[in-house]
Amino acid sequence: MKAKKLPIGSRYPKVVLLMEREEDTSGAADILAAHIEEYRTIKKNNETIEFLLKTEPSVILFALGNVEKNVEYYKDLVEKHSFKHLHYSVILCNNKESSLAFRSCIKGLFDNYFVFQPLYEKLRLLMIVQNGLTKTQSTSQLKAVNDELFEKINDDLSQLIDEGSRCKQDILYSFTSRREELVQLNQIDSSIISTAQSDLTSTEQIMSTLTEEHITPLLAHLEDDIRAGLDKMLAQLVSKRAEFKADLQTNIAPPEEKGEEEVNAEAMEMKPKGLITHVPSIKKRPLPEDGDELPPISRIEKNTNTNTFDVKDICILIVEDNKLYRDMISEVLTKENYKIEEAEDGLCALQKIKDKKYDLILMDLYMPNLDGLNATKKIRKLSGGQDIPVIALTSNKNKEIVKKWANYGLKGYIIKPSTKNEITDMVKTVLEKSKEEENV
Amino acid sequence: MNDNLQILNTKVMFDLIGDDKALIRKFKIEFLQQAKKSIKEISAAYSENAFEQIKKETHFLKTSAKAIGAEVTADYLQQLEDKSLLEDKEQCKQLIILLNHSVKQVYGEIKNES
Repeated sequence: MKAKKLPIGSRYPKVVLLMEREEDTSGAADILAAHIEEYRTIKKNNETIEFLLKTEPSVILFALGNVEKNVEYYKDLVEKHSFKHLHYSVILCNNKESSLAFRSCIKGLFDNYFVFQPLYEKLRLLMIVQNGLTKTQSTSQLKAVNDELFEKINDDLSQLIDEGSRCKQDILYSFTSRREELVQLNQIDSSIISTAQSDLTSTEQIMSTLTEEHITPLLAHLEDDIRAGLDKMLAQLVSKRAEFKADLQTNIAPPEEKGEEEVNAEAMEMKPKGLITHVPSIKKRPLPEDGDELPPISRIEKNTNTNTFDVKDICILIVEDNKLYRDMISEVLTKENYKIEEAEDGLCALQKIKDKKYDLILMDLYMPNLDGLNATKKIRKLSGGQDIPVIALTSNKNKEIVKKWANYGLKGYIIKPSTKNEITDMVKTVLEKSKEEENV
Repeated sequence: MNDNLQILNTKVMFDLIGDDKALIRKFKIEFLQQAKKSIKEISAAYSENAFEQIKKETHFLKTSAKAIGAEVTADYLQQLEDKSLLEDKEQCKQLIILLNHSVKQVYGEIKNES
């Protein structure tokens, strides 16, 4: 945001300050006007609601005397006047009412609050407005991408349905044709039978000949037609689904995380190697406003093949600083008859790996002494450490770091806390793949 | 806070551990012990304005809270983690109070189950 002279007022401002008394908000209004181009101060009157509905500002700051008045007015605006467009609401209050304003934000009525009487933190006010603008903008972009994508999916599905109908019609036509041929055959049969009777040939022999030479081939032909039609439809559905998945992954790019601590990692120069499979947590929350959910990736298919390894020979190292969660994972995998060892941080894990070979490592990201990402880097440098498969244990917000982590041979990740089946399926799949690669 | 969050969502532990009631109870009690310790650490860090420490401690406890299904507690911990990054002392204070209260509610739920 640049420092600007006070403008006359934008016609369709992106940021609006709603006030009752000008003298209350002059400080805040001056700061906002000086730094935000599309800003306007509005005095509450009979035309205010109409103005807001018309201009649909991205950020609205409420300064209507006290918290109670702000809450009532905003509720009225949203409920009675259907003020539902995407916006970021900020309540301005005096110091005494700050806890009340905080509670109104916690309850989800307003997005943020700011103490403007007395006005100490000018930069923070600008930061709040800037965050609001960024959020509304990124959510609008995401919504636009989603709309476009859903429209495309809708078109694809319609096309599939049309093709399905055509396939069905073709199959029905085949049935009708074959039936007609059978009817014709039956007519021929009757004449053949009567001739055959005069030749003293048994009826049974004739029917048997007819069945073998005509009916059976016709039925086989029909069956082939049906099979071919259905196979074609299935193949198309599968390819459409693959395209859809690819579209979702490229188009729904998650926005940057705010304030997430960067792990102490060096710049990544290596290209990604190896596939990552993902097991999402069973709790599918709705998309939050700042859109920081991982993109929906289909669950891994359950490995129905018999193991190429004996579970009892497998030794898994669980690296997690939270003892409670570590015990839980250990419990889940021990019940599956895996041998389990534990380490409370990356440093501990490294010491264990130097002394013993593990078949799989489950690694947390944020740990004291040595975090998951750096621990994996160091493991890869150890002799024999290059091939140990690693599965990340992480929360939903760490996707950017997990992507970097993938450069070091991450074979999958589990979103905490996950479920027993998802954890065991992931472990089984990664171990299977690892054993297959060893055998190649 | 999302109104759909539960004080203690029993399905989470069931999905993770199975129907071993004794084991589930053991983990819940462990969580309470861990939470008590963590909240003390968080309060101490708050009084020293050690926001980095608040963040680490809340992140740590959040894993446990999610694992046992203490959704409200996990939500407050997430908010506290975010606010500690912004070094917003006032909001951290409010969230620590709310966090403490939510853990007491979890205790209440566990007690009622027995």
